[in-house]
Amino acid sequence: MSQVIKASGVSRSFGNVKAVDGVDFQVESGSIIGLIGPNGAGKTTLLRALLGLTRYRGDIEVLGYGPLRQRAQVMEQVCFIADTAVLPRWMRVAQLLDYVAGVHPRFDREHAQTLLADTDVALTRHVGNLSKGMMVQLHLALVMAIDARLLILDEPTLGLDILFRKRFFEQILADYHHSERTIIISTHQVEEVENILTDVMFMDRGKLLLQQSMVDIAEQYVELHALAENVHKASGIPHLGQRVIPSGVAFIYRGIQPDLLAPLGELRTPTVADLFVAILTGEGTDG
Amino acid sequence: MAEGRSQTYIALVLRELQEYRTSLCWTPLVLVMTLCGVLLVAVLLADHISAIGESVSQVLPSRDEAGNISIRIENNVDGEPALEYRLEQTPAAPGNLTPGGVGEEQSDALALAGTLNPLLQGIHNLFLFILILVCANYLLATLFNDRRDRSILFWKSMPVSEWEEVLAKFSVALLVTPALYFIASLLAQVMCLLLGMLLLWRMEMDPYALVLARVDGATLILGQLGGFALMALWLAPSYAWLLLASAGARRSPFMLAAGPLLAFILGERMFLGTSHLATVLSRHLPHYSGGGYAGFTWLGAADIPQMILGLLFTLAALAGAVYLRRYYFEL
Repeated sequence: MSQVIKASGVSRSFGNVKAVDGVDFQVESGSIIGLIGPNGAGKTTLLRALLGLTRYRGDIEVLGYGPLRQRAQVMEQVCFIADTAVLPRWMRVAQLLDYVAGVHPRFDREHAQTLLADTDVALTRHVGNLSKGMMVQLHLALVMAIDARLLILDEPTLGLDILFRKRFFEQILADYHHSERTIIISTHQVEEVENILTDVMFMDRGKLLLQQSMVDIAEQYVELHALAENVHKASGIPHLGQRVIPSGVAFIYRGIQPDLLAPLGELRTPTVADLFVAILTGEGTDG
Repeated sequence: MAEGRSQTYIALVLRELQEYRTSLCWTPLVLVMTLCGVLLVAVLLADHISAIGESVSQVLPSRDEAGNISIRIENNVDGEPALEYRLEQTPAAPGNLTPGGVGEEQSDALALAGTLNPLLQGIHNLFLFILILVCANYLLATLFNDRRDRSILFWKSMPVSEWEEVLAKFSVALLVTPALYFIASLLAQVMCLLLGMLLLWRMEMDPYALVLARVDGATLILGQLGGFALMALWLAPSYAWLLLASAGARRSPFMLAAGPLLAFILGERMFLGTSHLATVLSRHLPHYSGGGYAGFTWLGAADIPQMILGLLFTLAALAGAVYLRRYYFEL
């Protein structure tokens, strides 16, 4: 596996606010990374730094290019869907396809049309007249018809209903992703993408709290559902976080042998959302 | 590689023509159709007067003297007759194509050639005037509108550098749109000539002698083409400034473009008592100079340093627009 992104000491401030604060990370090709964080965590700023859309301090290399100075070269192999509808509303769909075909050497117009044929997006329609869902479908069709190596999705399904959201991620997984393509997804709906992620990155207040593969998470973290009589014993073991569940408490532990916890209740791998909350709130007793 | 770059440039220009199709493409066509419509009405309804733009051409046949024709072309700007010709038609000698002998015919032709050019130049000036308004409006809007509606994020997701984007937009204002307006102006002039000839033919006069023989097409077209080149060279700094304002504005590109200049001009006048900036600016803005080429005249070697300075300013302003587009595009 080759490295798609190398970032070290990346920082970006807006006035006195540190949107991204000394972030270091690497991304291997073929991975699907979930970038998780609350509002204002710095996710969008970090993604924009990767795309050369905002200035930053530190070093970033995307596919061997510096995104700030070599944005055009980066964008030949990187696709991006932003958190809001950013397609030009005055254009017709066919004009949009013509434009992308004109400027993007890796765009397959026929493939885009094939993808659009399965939707309600007609080539003659104005982008501005499309619904939010259709706009996302159009943008996805454009992106999927580009033979890119890195796809960055910043809250791509914001404001869409659950059917659209489900179809969106299914389509990306089934028709787009392969071992040479890397995907970074920033989303609040963690539970909807959790099953397709290979890695997660947790961010809060500009800092990277965690970067780990889903396999490592399954090996290192365990969630115990302790029932009433075992809650006291379980809470005595250093844990990352806890939350109330019906007739008991769920604890999340890091680096504890499952055999030690098994007598206290049901064990499972924590969900990304629960792990994130546990790490973020820091309510546990594990250092 | 070069093919890819030219394909990108074409796609960028087409995008501009599509987005601003009303002002860049439809306006000159509508202007052509309006002018032709006015003339057509004149052909259908009036036998005597054809009015076009700033110039009025009056064809006054002397009905009592069937052989005599008087043509007067007036310029409305100063109200004085610019040209006045009196022709006397004599019966054509057998074998002669036109009245008079061969030598007389040649000297007449030389004297008359180009006498209708000012009228056609008037039509062309109307196109130039609208072209400059349209381009100024386009330049103020083009780097601002996509920041306002956030579609800039989509444009920036394409492998197009800021330089390519800014230069494509600049060339649309400086080259592509003038070319479209030039074609439209040419079409309007040809249509006016044809309709004028039709009008004269309906009045049982000689369209060739009264219209075609009086147009020096080569001089006219070369002059108009040269005028476009001159205009591009002199307007480039002003256009680049408007583009810079469009790239940097947070609310009103017009205010950003005009405000600082007015402040500097007033400040210079109030505190230094001079008006150097106003003088320099006036050279790079369309103005009446007595010439027909959008107010710009070529004064020879004396112009070269100022033109070079203007072009250097153009480069600096474009670089500024690229910088703002790259780092400060969000509103």
